[in-house]
Amino acid sequence: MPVVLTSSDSETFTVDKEVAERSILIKNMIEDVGESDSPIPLPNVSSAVLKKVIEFCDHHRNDPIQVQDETDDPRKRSNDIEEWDMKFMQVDQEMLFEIILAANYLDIKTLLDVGCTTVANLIKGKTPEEIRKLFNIVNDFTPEEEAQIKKENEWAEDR
Amino acid sequence: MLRDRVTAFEIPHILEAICERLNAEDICHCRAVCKVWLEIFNPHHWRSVRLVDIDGHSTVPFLSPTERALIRQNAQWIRSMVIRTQETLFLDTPCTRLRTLDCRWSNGFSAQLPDPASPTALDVILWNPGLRLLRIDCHGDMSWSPNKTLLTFLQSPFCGLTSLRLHLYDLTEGFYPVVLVSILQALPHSLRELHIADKRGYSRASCNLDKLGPQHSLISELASQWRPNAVRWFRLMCPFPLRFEYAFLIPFLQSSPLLEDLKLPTVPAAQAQALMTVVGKSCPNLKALHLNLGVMVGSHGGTEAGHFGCLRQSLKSLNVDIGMDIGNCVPLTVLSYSTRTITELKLKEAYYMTSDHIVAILRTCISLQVLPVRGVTHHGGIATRAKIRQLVDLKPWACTRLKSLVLPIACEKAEKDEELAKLVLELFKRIRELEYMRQEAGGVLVLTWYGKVSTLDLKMALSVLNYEMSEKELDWMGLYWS
Repeated sequence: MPVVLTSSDSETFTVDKEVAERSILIKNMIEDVGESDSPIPLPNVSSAVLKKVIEFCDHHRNDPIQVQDETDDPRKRSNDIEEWDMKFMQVDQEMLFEIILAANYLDIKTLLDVGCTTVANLIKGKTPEEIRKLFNIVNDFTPEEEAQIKKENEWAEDR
Repeated sequence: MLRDRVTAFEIPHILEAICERLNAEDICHCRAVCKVWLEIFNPHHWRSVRLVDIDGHSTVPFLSPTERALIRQNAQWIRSMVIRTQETLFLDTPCTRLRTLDCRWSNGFSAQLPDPASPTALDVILWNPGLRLLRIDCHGDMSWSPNKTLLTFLQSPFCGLTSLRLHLYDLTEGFYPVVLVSILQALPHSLRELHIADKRGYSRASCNLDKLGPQHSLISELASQWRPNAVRWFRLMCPFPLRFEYAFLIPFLQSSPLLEDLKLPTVPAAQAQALMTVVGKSCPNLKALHLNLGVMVGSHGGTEAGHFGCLRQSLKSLNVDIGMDIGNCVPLTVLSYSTRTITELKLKEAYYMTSDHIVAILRTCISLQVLPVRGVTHHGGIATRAKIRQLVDLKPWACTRLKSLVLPIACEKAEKDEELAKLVLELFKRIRELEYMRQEAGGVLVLTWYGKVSTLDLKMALSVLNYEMSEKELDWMGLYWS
């Protein structure tokens, strides 16, 4: 039984129910509405992003659904990503963050995890200046404020 | 473009997921990026700290000086912590907002005890009125400083602990009853959940009251001063039943009027009656009982039905491990008070469970949801056609909320038994009509097969009956044979 999804820019995608239901949001919608042929509107997701999301869900269609408490202990969480997921996440930054937001909106935990791990790996080991460059963020601290933060974090600098 | 990104970082659980994958230094660097990031990458992300690896060894020596400093600086934000009891990292930088504390002693207590007067990680509990859950590896020596700290904490008026898990170790055999009894008597009224695990192992099973000598009178003296507690959930785990365990258990149960869930280790026959009488009298709110009436019990008659007659509570859950030589109607006596309330019934090694018993349970226990009948020996279960017929003809079906049923069915004939297959099929269809037993509802129905018939024979018999059962359905029906 295929499901029809409509992106914010009115493009329609026909996917297997099993694939669409990797998204808890869509799964709940289908349960609430019952089986119907009418498309499910996703006003927060553009067609480019939805295409990527469907690609991910299709690849992971047979994975077991992750139990919420499984990775309760943050220190046990690893920063390792499967090779396929890593390749999948090799997109420009704008797309990366749009995928994360879409995964959050659509409630796809595995995709959100992969996205957040990718962002964390980008940040790891970088100086504040490098992070600013990476995300194109303007340094809005005054020199005094910057000195203050530096002092607070003094012990954090490599000595 | 930038807006999107800031939005993603501003959604708390996304930010949290990112932060969990960063170390202290990275988070510091993030705080220095811009004003928004200084605000969002805040010390709240230090809520959960684990300083012990999976084998119980401290990870503190492997922290970078930066991480160590950051953890100490943010000690006040830590909500949950796993730490070695010997750790001294926080002694001069109090954590004041702990909710959960897990104090481990690496490798149990095989190592030499430190100076009993030295301060330990457990001392942080004294600054934590908000502490709710405490798990601690506990040593039997009363002079060991964490024991004193624990007692001081339990007796302090601000203690609001709701859950306490004690893992008892003992090098100096025979002392720990005093520690245990002292702790049990100091339980705060806020405590709801108590879990005691005895980790001494079989080698120390020889310890008993007689050996305690002067300690014995101390225990009796302590035991006379019990005050009521508000514990609802109590588990006692120990590898070997000891007399002194029952010496503290009985006064403890007598002062636990609100107990709802009780799990005990192997109950020796000599203690069973006294114990059940106490439970029956003192714990009127009991809803779930997990018992192990072990094979170690010597002779017949140790725990006959009469001993359980005092247990007149309406239980919701009954989980009993029964040895071969236990009188056959123990659980049924208990059950007779619970036919309307029981939802879960697990009887292990229930070789004495005759067809009559099973049919009676399925006919009377109207709230029953889970009933696994497992006989280790190939007895028990439904043994005759007449009994299957009784079930099939049951109108209306009594326990309509059944979600999980494991039912052994006996087959005496060696050749294909069409009549039996037909009956089983009817039973199968009958149970499948139940609300939670439909295939799509995820109910579990396993008809275990024993005797002389094989699955193949049954499949053939079913095909003779022209019932087209799909492979999936057959799988789900779970026909096994033994």
